[in-house]
Amino acid sequence: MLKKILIVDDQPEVARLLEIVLRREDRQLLFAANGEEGLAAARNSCPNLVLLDIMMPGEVDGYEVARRLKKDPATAGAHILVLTAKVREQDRQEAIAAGADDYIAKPFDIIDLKTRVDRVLG
Amino acid sequence: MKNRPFPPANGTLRDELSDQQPCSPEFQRHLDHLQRFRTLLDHANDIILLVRLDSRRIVDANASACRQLRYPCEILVGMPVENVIDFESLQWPEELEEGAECRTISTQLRRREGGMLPVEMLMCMEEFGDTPYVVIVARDVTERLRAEEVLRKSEWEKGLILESTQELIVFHDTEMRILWANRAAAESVHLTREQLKGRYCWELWHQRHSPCNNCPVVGSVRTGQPQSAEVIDPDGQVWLIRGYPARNAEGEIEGAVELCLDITERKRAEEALRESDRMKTEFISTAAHELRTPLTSILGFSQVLLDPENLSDAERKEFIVYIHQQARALSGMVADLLDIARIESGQGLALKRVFCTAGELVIQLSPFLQGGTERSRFELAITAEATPLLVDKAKMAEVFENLLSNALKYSPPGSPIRIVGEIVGESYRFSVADQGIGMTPEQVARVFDKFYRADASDTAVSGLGLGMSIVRNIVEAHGGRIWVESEPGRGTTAHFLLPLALPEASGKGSNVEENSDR
Repeated sequence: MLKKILIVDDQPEVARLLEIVLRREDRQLLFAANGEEGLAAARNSCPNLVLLDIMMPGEVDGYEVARRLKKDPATAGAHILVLTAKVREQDRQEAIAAGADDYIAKPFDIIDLKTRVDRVLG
Repeated sequence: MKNRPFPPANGTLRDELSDQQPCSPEFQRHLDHLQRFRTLLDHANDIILLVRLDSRRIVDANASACRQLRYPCEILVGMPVENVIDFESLQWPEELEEGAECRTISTQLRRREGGMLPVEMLMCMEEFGDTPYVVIVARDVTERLRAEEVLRKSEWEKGLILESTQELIVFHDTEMRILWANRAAAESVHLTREQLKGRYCWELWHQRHSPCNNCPVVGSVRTGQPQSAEVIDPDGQVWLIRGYPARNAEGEIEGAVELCLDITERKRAEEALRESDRMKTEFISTAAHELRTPLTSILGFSQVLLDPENLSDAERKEFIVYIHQQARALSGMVADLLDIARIESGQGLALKRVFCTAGELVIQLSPFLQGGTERSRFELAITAEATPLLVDKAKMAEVFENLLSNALKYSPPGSPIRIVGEIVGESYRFSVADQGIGMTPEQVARVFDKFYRADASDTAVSGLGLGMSIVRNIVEAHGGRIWVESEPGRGTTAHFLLPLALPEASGKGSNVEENSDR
């Protein structure tokens, strides 16, 4: 069955990098450039995995996206992997508190990212 | 009764004696009487002299007079009184004046060997028989003068210390009434020191009707221990107040000394320092975050390229372009950091100034203006293009690129960005105007601060918060001026002035520069 990965990041080159690293026959990649788009896309497509940036333009940052995804029964099942350049311990804790299942600091090692994504999606 | 230092030598006694036979018991009794008075006078510590008014000669002197003036009594008696008293320094009576028989003066007596003896001197006119005399009683005041001098010096030193400090120094009684205040204290409330006496410090300095809460001066009286506290006035002035209990010789508290220093400025400076420290910390965090962003692409795409088999040629090329672009962005950030470090260390910016025209400065922006997808947004209105300027062209490009990228960042896609150039008085003025989100007056006031970003939470607007600070430094290093006008929702316009190059210099100079450029 096709697994869906939603990539929420305002930087197009990062989204492109993730696309290259994660693309596979049995996966569908979806993209959103800010928090609001990310929430809408998640509701529409019910992704298995959300790769979530934290600092994005607009009213809704990554923490808020995580909170709302976990609150909404339709999207609560999605595995949330926060991918951020905010790397202080308090940032990591805030991400976990907001509902993130995993946390990767930017810049990241693509092998490490692949491993973690494969583990979630099988 | 008149002041009579020589009581027995009056007319009555002499008349009595002249009637007596020597060796008669009456005579002997009177002689004993005289001898007793003589002894009394000789034991007096004061100098006592009897001087004839007409001849001005000393006719009698007590033992103290002889001793203190250093004369044998047989020489002192019979001597003109001028030898002992400096007549110029006092009004010696010419004749007997009724009514003003006695007066007291401070003067000096001359000793035999020439030394002077400071004295307080009583002069009285007396008449014995029909002969007028002056009775002199003089007291040595050397010790008193010395003590007074010591006291004066100590008062002077105390005054010097208490009046030369900016600190307000007040001495209170235990009820907190002011007993003494230094000049700084009086001047701080525009009163005289006399007017402060008896008033309460809380009414004068803090506009209160009772002591301040936790007043350290009250506390020092209560506890007997020095105390200090910071007190903030309603008008925002901050005082460091210290109270010291004042004890008398028995150790009882008789009042308190208050030292009061206006630390408003110091507090403000500390606050500014904390704010600057906070901004620096935030900057380091922001800088680390901003540097990570291009690094993510550079490391990620280069790692992808290490295993190129699964990639198409187009993809490989695309990724190399990403790496290159992001490395350039990184390099720009590092350049900004180095610029700001140079400015911070006081080295200033090294300018390579050449003669060029206002138009050339805009033409060199062409790659920026025409390169991106945003080129349709730029509107140019450059007048007097041939105006000569003496500028560092690369640095001016940096100024324009900063202003233009801010205009792009903070305005909606597609909205116009206008670049205007015109002569204004002695200067050439460039303006970059957008129709973006604009800024509040508070944001405008801080836009040139280092590390300041109007909205630090928004990473879509990337950057280190150094650009405008560097821009201002560049413009000012050229002798120019830069300012920003903005209104929330309406857009922002940045203006900067550059001084016009002198025409005669520009003719020669620009040729030289152009030759060296080629």
